[in-house]
Amino acid sequence: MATKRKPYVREVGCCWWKSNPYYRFYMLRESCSVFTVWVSLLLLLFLFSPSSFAALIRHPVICLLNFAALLASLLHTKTWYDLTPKALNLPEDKLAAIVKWLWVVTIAFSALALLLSLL
Amino acid sequence: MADEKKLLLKIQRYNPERDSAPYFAPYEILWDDQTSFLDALQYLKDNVCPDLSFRSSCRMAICGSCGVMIDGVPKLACKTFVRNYPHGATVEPLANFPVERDLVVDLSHFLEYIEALKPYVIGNTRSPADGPNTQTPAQLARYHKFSMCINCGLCYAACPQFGLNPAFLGPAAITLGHRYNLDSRDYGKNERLRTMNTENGVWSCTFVGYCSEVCPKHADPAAALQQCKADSALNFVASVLKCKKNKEVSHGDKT
Repeated sequence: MATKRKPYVREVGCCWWKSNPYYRFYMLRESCSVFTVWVSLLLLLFLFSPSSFAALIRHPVICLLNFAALLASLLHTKTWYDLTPKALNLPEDKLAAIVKWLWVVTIAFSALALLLSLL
Repeated sequence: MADEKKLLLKIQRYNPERDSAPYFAPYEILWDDQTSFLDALQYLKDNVCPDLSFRSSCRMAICGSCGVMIDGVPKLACKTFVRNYPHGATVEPLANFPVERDLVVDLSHFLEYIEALKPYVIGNTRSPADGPNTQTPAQLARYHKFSMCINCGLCYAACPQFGLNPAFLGPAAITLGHRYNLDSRDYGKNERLRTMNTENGVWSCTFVGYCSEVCPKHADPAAALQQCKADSALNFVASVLKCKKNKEVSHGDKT
């Protein structure tokens, strides 16, 4: 007897991420990488042509882009550190301490970098 | 049901013998504060539409049969209460799986993936005569969370990567494999890693993390996948080093 099965497959559209706030935040988190590419290009320019770099970073649009890159990297750091405990199979109390220390090191390193750049 | 109220549920219907595509049908249900979505579906089947198809068994969030999408979110119908949806809700079959009929989906892929990852103790040669295989609380704690999985498939419905690529082994299967990889009584880690290391294994996961969010037993599949990625990377490095060492040994033999 022929089967009466006719499984219906629901297609996943390219806008699947729009339907759910969790997916939307995931896309926002992942889109931070676009700004990382931007900063990398800027650093490459600094490496190969320091004079052009110095002229470029004073442009208001570039300042805005760099500010957006700063916010994006902060968001990415926050989500990265929040997700770090998932990759480590350790007791809860140790995980909390590790995340705290990650923040301490990040803030200390950022403050040192800022200090050195202002000197 | 002394304090009965009425509520509108939109339920996705699909009869493969009659319909070309699923559609939503509105149904009015009677409910009180103790009515779960599974109770509501059973009420409809008993009183309104006897041909409504859905899976269920234990009614207490243990068997993992009654997974459905409620307002687009994967949930166990028995563990989700109508009182939390005062303005009505839509009920659909689990996302990312082919729909067989109404709220019933085809879980064949999912079950094959679980089987592929060998979620059982491998390589332990102890016999009953050797006595119990003891395990410390610390050893148990390493995998206990991951052993909570009830194979309900909600994590697959929450995983966009599985939706986009149904060949991806997916969260629950990898979590169950990882649960045994972490078990001190098991010696089958390398065997499972061969499957986990493949293109459709752990590396298809992009850490959306929604699987852990919807897991009704808090098994945390996203954590299992990230830990498996670390294991997979270490396994790759170890295999490269081993390969290099073997080459050196074989070259040494030739000279």
